[in-house]
Amino acid sequence: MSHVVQCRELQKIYGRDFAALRGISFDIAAGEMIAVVGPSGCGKSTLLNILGLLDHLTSGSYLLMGEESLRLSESKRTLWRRRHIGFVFQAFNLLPRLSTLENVMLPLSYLGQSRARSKSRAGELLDMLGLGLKSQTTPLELSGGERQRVGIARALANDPDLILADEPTGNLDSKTGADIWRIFEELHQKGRTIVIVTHDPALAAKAGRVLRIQDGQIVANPNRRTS
Amino acid sequence: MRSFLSFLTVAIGVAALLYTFAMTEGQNQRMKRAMELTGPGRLVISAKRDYQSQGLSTGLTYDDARAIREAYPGLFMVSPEQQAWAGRFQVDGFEDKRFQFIGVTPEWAKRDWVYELRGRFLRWEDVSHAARVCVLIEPGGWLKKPAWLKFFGMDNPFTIWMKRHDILGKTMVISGETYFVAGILQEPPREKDPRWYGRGRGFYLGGRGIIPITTFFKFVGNRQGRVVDNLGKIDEISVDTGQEKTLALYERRLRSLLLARHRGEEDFEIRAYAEMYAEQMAEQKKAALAIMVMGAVCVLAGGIGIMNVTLATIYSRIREIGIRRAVGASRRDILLQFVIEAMLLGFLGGLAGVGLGVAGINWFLKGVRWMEIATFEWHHFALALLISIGTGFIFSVYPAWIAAKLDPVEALRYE
Repeated sequence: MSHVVQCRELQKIYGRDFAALRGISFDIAAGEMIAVVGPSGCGKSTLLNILGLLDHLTSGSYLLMGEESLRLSESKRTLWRRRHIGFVFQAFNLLPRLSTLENVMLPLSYLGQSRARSKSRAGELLDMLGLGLKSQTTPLELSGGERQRVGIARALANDPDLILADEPTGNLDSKTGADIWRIFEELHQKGRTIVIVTHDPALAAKAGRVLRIQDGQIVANPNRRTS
Repeated sequence: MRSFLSFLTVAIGVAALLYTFAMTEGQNQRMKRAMELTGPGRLVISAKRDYQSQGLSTGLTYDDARAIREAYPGLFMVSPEQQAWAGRFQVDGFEDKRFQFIGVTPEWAKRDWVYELRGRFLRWEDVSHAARVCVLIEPGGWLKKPAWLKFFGMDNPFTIWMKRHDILGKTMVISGETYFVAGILQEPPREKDPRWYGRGRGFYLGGRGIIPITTFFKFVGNRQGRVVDNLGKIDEISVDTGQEKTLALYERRLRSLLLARHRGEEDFEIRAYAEMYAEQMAEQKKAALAIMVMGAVCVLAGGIGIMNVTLATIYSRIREIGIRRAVGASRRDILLQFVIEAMLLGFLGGLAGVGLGVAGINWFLKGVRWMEIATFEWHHFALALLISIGTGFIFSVYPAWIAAKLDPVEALRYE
């Protein structure tokens, strides 16, 4: 099985001596669903930002789709993020001035796709997530669960090799959270590679594999499956 | 609101710039047309108005003109001219006050000829005999009368009367002296009159006629109501060398000739038309430059406004920038987004400015005496729009660059 992510001794040091990550190594195979758990401030989000090429690592090695991230120039990093990564955020991070459909179209516009094609693709994704009727409304008129589904649709727009979700259920009640989680599971079954950061141990238990992080280090054996 | 204000300043600036362009263009065109009419070799010798004679010179006279003609037969034209107002005149039952006499020689016909002649023009016999002949000038009127003229009703009764009566070959009595109307010079309509673009000399709409200069000295004299003055003093002599090359040469020759004739008193001025035009242009250019500077300052202020607006938008949209970066926008995409927004603002400002400028200039032209003082060319609009778009570009690059440089992680975390 090919590896989407290969991390060796990842280190991230902020400022002079605050180490957010102190040597993390793990691999993610294509099609895996991984839950990253741990207390607040343990470096989960930092890890996710590094995986998504938003943040730079201080030392170690991170290969995304077999490409060493340290060797990518700033514009190449943007290009890789554009092509391979889909982000889902805790606070949804939809643009309030754009319609639901336009929000989903956003990554496609940066990919340079024609408006007509990205429109139909975004429409399909919203249909798939049961939001087909709300494509013209603005995110402000949607409920939390609906907003997160728009967020997921946006993350799927560029057909990413790796979906990174930073506490996607954190701002939702437990029932809606469970619904969102089910969407991720369905995506996983369709063969998507997903990394989800979560606080909720009950949800994390459902993931194929759990990465437990504490003080910037992995505590459980990273490459062993929990179930 | 802020974006509206900067939009407005850009608009005003662009309007001012456009106005300047139009003015300058209008001047250039008028100058060109005036030069075409007068030709390149024109000089004018005029009597100095406030000159205190030392008793040696008799001032500029008709004899001077004759002397010049005699000394330099190669000159294309030597046309002396003297004007005066005369009192009451009667013709064919019509009667009015003021009549303007212009005493000339037949050489006058070589000068700014824009007329259509009926009957005949003055002849040298008329001059040598001081004949009582008069060639009337009929005002051209307007093709399309401007609104302000209709409003003020500046029509002269004689002009109206002349349109309906043909007085060619009739006799006229002016200040008690009888003249034969030998010819009528029809002026072109005002809009088509190229003289109008040149010296901007006033247009008299009432009775006006050309008589031999000798007749002028005999019957009219130099001032209204004064006893006939036979010294032959004249206001000016128009000289045309016929070419540009010899202009400076003749200017020197004429000066020394006249100085000798005036016994060293320099009670006259010799000036080239081209020089006079250039002086006028320079003066108008100064005024245009002042407006241009104002416009530029306005555009600059608008630009700073745009910068301010762009910065404000960026600070209120830091999170959006983070989101866009996360979903795949490059730094260049972010930069372009803000620059394009600012350029659009500048473009709209420019568009409004063009509208404002055109409306303003049209209003100006309607309200004031000068028509065609300003001329629009399509490239003025293009330039004005380009300037406004350029302003948007220049003043948004720096803020947009700041936006593009933001760290996406921090931008995403920004509340």
